[in-house]
Amino acid sequence: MEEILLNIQNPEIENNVFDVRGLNLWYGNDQALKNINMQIEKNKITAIIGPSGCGKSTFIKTLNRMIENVPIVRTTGEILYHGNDIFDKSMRVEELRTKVGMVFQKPNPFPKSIFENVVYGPKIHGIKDKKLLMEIAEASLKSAALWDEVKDRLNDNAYGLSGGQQQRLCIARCIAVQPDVILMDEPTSALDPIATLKVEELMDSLKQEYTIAIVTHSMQQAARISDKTAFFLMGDLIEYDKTEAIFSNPRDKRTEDYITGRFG
Amino acid sequence: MREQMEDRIREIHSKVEYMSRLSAGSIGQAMEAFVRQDARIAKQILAQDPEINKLEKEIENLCITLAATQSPLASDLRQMVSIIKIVTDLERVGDYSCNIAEVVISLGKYELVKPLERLPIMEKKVREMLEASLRAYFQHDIELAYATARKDDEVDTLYEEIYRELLHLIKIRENQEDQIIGLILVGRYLERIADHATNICERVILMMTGENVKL
Repeated sequence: MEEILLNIQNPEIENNVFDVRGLNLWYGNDQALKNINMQIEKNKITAIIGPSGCGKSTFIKTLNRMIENVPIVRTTGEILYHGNDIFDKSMRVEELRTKVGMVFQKPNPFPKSIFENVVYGPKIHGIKDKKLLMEIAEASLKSAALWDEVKDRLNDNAYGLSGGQQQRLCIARCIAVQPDVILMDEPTSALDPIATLKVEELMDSLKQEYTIAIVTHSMQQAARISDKTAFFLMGDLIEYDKTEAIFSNPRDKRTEDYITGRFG
Repeated sequence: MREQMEDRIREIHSKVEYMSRLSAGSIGQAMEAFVRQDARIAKQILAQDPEINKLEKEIENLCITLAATQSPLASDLRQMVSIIKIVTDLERVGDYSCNIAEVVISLGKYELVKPLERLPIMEKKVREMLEASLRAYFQHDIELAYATARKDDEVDTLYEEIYRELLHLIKIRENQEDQIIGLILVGRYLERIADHATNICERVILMMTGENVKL
């Protein structure tokens, strides 16, 4: 609570990419998010943890309004993205989703070549110049730490890549449209330990340029890679603090019980 | 998974309890050897010390295994870190008891330069401090930890008095320097044991509150 008060009294809006205020969300009659108030800081990795069904995936999908793909969803409250409420009628959802990209648990490359996957977004945005597209592809694949592995086979089908490579391809695809925020919903759950490590290293380098929010089931992952951690439980945000505080000395007993494995 | 963690912690705890008994017990034994000028008891203390050292290593290794396999967090993590530090303090206490034993052995039988008054009092205070600090740990008692640490000043003052008196004596009693130095050393070792008891109190507070205090 103190943290949130501090931010309101000391409005360095530039520091906060997202400012969530009084967010409530229902799936039909079931309330999945209850009065969520939190800020997501720029160029930091924010981890969202909590037991199954706590609302963490729902929350992250609300940040770029992906959740609206579910017809029975209803929300109240505000989510300010760089000071602008994303629920406002004037907000263009496609543009929001370009700026706030998303990577999912199961890598989902298109059934196209590696190259076509990466440049799909820029092409949709109207870029036709082949040289420019190639530059974008190279830059994005480099940012995603995949370039060296695929530079000689850009025309190969993306399905030929390993799981970890596919996931990095999805990240490259996301980066190609120049987002500001990258949301990740359990991005390494389906990957082996080495691929996981590569993606985690990637995330650490990406935060220099982007803001990252990641939902994870792994306490160790959240502890390893994030700067701040938010603990959700049954739709409530229980505690939100610097990662080292959450994992060494949480304030709320429920947080303590969850991370020490007493439930969940 | 939680049960596994609890089992491992129980195993570590029972060893810490045993080590505490040996370590705290060694102080009383050392003082007994000193008061009675009994080299036999002193040698027993030396013979027992390897057991204390072995326990320190065993407990450390168990904690490392716990960290590697269970990835303890929050209070579990703080407790584990505290245990590792506490067993180091207990091992040092055992060493100081050995140091006292060595003084006993080297002095042999001698006529007391003055009646032993304050050293046994000091030993009692120090032993009680150590026992209290360990109780504070086992009972998770922050109040007791703070109260026990406060006693360190009393012990320091007492040692200071003993030291001054003995320093004075050394000037006027010829041929008894060995004994007087022995007495000074014993006082010093007891004072260091009290410091370790204070350290243990600090670990208890870290374990319970997450605050790294200097008492």
